[in-house]
Amino acid sequence: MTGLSALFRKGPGGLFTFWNVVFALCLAMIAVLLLRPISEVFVVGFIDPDSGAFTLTNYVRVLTRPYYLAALRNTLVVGGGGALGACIIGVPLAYFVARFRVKGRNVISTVAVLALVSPPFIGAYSWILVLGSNGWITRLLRAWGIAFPSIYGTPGIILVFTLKFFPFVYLMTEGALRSVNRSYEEAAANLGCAPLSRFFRITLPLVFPAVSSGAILAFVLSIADFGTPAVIGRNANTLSTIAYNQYTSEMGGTPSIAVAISMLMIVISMAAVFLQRYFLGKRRYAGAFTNLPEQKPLSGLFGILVYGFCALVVLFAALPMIVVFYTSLLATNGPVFTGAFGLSSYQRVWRELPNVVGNSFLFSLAAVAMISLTSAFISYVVVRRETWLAGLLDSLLMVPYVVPGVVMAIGFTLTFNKPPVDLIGTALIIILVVFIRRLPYGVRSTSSILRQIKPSIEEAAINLGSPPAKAFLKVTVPIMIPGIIVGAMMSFITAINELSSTLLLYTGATATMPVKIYAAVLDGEFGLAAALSTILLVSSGICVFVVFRLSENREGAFV
Amino acid sequence: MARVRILDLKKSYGDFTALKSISLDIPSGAFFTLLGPSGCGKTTLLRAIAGFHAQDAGSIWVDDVSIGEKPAHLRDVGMVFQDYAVFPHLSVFDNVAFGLRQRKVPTAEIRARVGKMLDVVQLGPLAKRMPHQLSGGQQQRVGLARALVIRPKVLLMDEPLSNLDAKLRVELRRDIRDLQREFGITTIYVTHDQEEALAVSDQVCVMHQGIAQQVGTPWEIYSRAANLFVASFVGSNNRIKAAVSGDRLEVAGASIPCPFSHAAGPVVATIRPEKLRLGATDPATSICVRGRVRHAMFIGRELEIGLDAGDLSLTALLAADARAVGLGPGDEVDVSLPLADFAFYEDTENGSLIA
Repeated sequence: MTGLSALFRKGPGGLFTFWNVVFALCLAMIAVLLLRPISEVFVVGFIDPDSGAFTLTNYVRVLTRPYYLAALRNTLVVGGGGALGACIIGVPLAYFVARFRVKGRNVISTVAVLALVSPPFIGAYSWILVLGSNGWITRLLRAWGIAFPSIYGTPGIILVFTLKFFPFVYLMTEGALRSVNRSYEEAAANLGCAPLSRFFRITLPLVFPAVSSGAILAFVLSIADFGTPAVIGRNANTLSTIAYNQYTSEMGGTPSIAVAISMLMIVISMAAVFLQRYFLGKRRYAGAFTNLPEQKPLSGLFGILVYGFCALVVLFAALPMIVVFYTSLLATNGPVFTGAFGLSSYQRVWRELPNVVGNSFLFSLAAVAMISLTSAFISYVVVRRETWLAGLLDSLLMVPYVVPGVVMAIGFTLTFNKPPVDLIGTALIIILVVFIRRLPYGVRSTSSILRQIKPSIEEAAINLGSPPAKAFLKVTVPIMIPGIIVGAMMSFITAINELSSTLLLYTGATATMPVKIYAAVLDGEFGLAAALSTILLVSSGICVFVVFRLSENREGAFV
Repeated sequence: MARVRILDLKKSYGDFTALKSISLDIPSGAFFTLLGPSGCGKTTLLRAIAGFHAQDAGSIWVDDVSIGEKPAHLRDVGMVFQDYAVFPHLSVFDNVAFGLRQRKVPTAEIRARVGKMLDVVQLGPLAKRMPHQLSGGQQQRVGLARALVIRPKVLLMDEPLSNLDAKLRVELRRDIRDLQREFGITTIYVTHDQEEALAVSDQVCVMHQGIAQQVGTPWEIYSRAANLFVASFVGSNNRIKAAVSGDRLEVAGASIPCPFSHAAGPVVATIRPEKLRLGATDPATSICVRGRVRHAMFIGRELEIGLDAGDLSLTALLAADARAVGLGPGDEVDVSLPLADFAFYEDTENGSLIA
């Protein structure tokens, strides 16, 4: 009993107080929905699929055979390339927007956020429509006798990742650049340092924590992404696509190889995160609240170059969305475009796939409802308690960030595949996977607002005679509402765009829009894919609008 | 060593005029302080000299070179910042070496000069430390070493001590003054702390509303304030309404021979609180006022007494002797105001000194 009361908090109300019970339930839920599936994955990796005995063969095979090693190399190349590309675009853009009076700053931020929330494989297939072997620009160039290099394979994947994930680097770096104490750069100038050298020797090192955080996010999401390499990769497999292929071919048996690949992905993601933490540990500089840098006016050749760069980035980032929207408005006859405009793609969605659209919204809303409810309680426990167990809960919530969707889906099928809890093929398993994968987004949003609410507000309510549960619900929750809504919107955006896990879990009856888009792209049904993608984009766009309205730090809510 | 001249410098931000035509001539090797309340233009002036913002008009000269149009990184004026601005990602050594590296000084010489400079500011043993491992006072020593090691012609200091605690402030300002003398470097120092300004400067320029109100030695500024703003901003002062009629002057309920010639009408008399004496003295040399003690506070070395005498309200700083310490609110007491210690000003918004 003493051990328990040390872990929880044995107050005047005894051990079974409201918050202790909530805390225990949160831990139990994390154990069942997060730790159990991951440990299943971990264990299965060491099992011989035929004999069921303990073995290291799976890992040995994955780490020695050229097929897997090529995928590993591709994964690192596209991950690194995506992160690097995101920095090359994101850092200069952030610098221009933060330090100069760039007109149209809102357009840049809005496009960046929209690019961030749109499903990545939409980018992949839009770029195929533009630069693929039969794309507009490819045909145009071919007409002029210019052969354009192939977009398929790793270059295409890197291009898509760069344009998809640069907003992370841009948004984080821009915020950091705005809060660098002006005196540092002035001191450097005063000591004889010229402007360009000042940027590399002072400014960039000072915002390095933000740049690297953005780059790591881009890296982790790049290596976990399934849709992009599947659509544009052709023969360039990544760990994500071979894990999926292995899993589908091992279907029915024990997915040992798929699991070994999954563990490799987790290890890479974790290594990246820890490496960045290690470097960040040495350099942590407080941002300034006063003495902020000025925004300089733009003029001359430099001004033209800056605007040119910004315009190009906006164009490239928005292109997939424009292409998708445009394509969705082309009339089709079956998979063939007739050349005229028309709403036939939408009519097909309405006629043939109403249940798919319905599923997407139903699953996402269900997951988001669960996330909103749970994250309010979890963030309370994480923010208000200072026990090591609460700290552990906080750390555990980082796990979904680094576990790719494919891996989580495999874990779920391994865990919930037999009675009493056989969820295979149900809608519930999809909802639960999406719930646990997106829970951290909700918790982060509610935690950040809860940190701004002083505990004394609740203590006052309790002191006036309200029981703890009621004080929380009547006083704290209403103040948290904006944070909860922002969290819900963020989770909804990611939930409705979820592909990598649902692709392993869906059945005919539980297909969602991203799954159907993926299938339609593979089948060459571009009109149908475009119509579904537009519906996804518009839904995400509405959520972005709500977040912009409710969030003080508008773009900051997305990173 | 260099003479600094500011000629007719003007700067405004939109409707706000930060500098209204400032001209200053700062002798080579002087410790020159810009003193004033916040918003008076002193920092704007300093930053214009450093080149952090362009002036609207006017020029800045170091010896015979005009630097007013040069970019900041080519001006060769050292600067020490209020918030230290010690680069947080560089060690103490690398911070101090930064300016030398920009000037492509050979590595061996950098090592020697930085090492020597760190010894001068007593940070030799801390060369390898990172800034976050230093106290505020140590960080400002790094800032000082970094500015001095490049041997600039002019040293600019923007309220370098205002983020430090009181005791450290006094200690470091003495060190700054010693270093400045040792290097003989022309120094322009910005502060809003008048005690600091008086303590360290060869010359003080009191600024207000973008105008240099008075330039002089600390003693001149304190004892012969050029106008009412300087009189009230530097040190505390009692301000007493007075009136000239013919050759008589009515002040503090007394009529005395007017010590200056002035048309009939109101003027303002000032007298420093420490000049007031307890008890009545010779009416030929002092004005005696009887008043009621409003408050009596022992503030360490002296006793501060607030006194009401009719519509006159006075503050006196008295030596803390037995008689003074015994005073309490409500006590009736005589104080005398020596005539020689009065200064008289025109009765306008910022009236200038008459005598």
